[in-house]
Amino acid sequence: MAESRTPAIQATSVSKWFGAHAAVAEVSFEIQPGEIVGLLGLNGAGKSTMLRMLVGALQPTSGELRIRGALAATNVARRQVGYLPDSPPLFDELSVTHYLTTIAELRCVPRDQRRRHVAEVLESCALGEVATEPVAALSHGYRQRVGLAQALVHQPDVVVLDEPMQGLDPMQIVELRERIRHLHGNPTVVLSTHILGEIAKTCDRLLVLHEGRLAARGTYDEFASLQSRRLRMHIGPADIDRVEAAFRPHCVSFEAHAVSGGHRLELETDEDRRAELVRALVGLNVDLLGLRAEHDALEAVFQSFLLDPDAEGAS
Amino acid sequence: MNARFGAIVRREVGAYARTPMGWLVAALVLSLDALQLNGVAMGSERRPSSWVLEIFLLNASFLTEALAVLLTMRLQLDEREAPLWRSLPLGDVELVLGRFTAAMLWLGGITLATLYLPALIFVNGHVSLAHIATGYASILLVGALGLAIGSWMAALTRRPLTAALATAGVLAMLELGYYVATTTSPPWRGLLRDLAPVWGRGQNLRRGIFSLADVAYYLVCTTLVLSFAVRAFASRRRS
Repeated sequence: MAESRTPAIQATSVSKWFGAHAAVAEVSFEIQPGEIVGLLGLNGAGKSTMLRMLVGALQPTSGELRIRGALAATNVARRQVGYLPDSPPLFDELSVTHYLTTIAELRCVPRDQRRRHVAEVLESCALGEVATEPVAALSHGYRQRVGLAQALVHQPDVVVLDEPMQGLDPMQIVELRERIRHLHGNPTVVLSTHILGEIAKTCDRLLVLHEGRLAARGTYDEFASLQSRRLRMHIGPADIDRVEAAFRPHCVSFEAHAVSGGHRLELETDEDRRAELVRALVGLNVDLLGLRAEHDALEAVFQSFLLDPDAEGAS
Repeated sequence: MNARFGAIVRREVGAYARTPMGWLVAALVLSLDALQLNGVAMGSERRPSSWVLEIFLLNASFLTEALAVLLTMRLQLDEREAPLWRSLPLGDVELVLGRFTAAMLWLGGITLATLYLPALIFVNGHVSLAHIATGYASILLVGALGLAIGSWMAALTRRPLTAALATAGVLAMLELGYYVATTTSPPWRGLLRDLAPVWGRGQNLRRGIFSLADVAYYLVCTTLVLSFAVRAFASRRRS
């Protein structure tokens, strides 16, 4: 029982300084066993630094980072973690099987279990047909799979993937997403990516880093509901002052632009007020030609952080 | 030590053996050793075979120092591989000693591959096997010290080339100390002469005289410098 209550990952006020620059500043979060969590952020937001601290490749300057209760920068924690860096560190001169066996050995897989572990990961990552090929001869997609396989070969409790979708074509992305969602043993997964739509489809929960700080956290739906408060409306000809007067009680901000055949309205509401706004238009006898929420919630969240670094996240 | 240490050594030796660079370096050293035996050690005039062997061993020792400098570039964690290596559940000692041991095995293999050259002197001249054995022991000990310095420099610097240049600088400084010693008075004279791995400490072994003090010098210095390398690596790993 005690073990099940231990978070898979626990970060408490973690900071990492490089000289005078704080790559990660006072970040705290918990990730429960079996969760798939996405780490979002722009370039330089501190994602890779955070992930390297998670896998024990870097030590926090201050704060505490624990993997299933053990400090991340200890070999006890490192044994429980599988890691795919942003460019997979493959030993090009080895065959895929030889490479995975070497990593299994370095990851402390007992000798009598290595063959089985390698066979399982070859199968689960669909590498059977290139098992005897030298790594150097593989295509980018296969190299990424081998990178994932090396992160899984010791059947870790926590899997950390830094930009796993980088350079993959759409089919490979879908395939990798399915692999991540159905990993053997249901490990905790933390991944970072720039492909915002993908992270939404792959992850249960998101953490947004901005300039080294944890700017927001929540599920995709929570982020999406945040963004349903940003509306774009296309209406027919109308007295825009009357429309604004009718909308004002429901809107935090109101912007109108004259376009051919009417107006385009950009609105922000404090909660989902689409029904009220439509009713107000009907009351004014104004035609509603189109209504949509900001279509990419995460991109909009990013934009709001860039424009307003103090913006609050989903939770 | 343990299975992981063995895995590091196998992986690193494999990296030397499966890449062209490892074989290019080996071919270069083997060719230069053969050339220096013919062109320098044997010369064009008649010389006592023990003298030829001694000069051959002296030149081979310097070539081994140069080889250690080249292998230093591989002692540093490759930038692309570094995050993975640092995330593996390996101790600092395992990582540093594993790479050092692999480099030492490669260097030892190349050195032993030149044994046919003194064998020619043995067959055609009058030298003892013990002379060849102590001479080769001195070459291997010089190589070990060079690689230990290389491991240290690799842990202190960020680029393989910088590590190699720093190693070359340290070795050159130690060897030049032998000549600087002639301009100084005791105790500096003795100290500087004794610190030079090839010119100073290698003399007795190259002449076929087994000197425990010289062997101890190499072993103590190698161990000490390797411990500095482990400390430097550990401090960087935790920074």
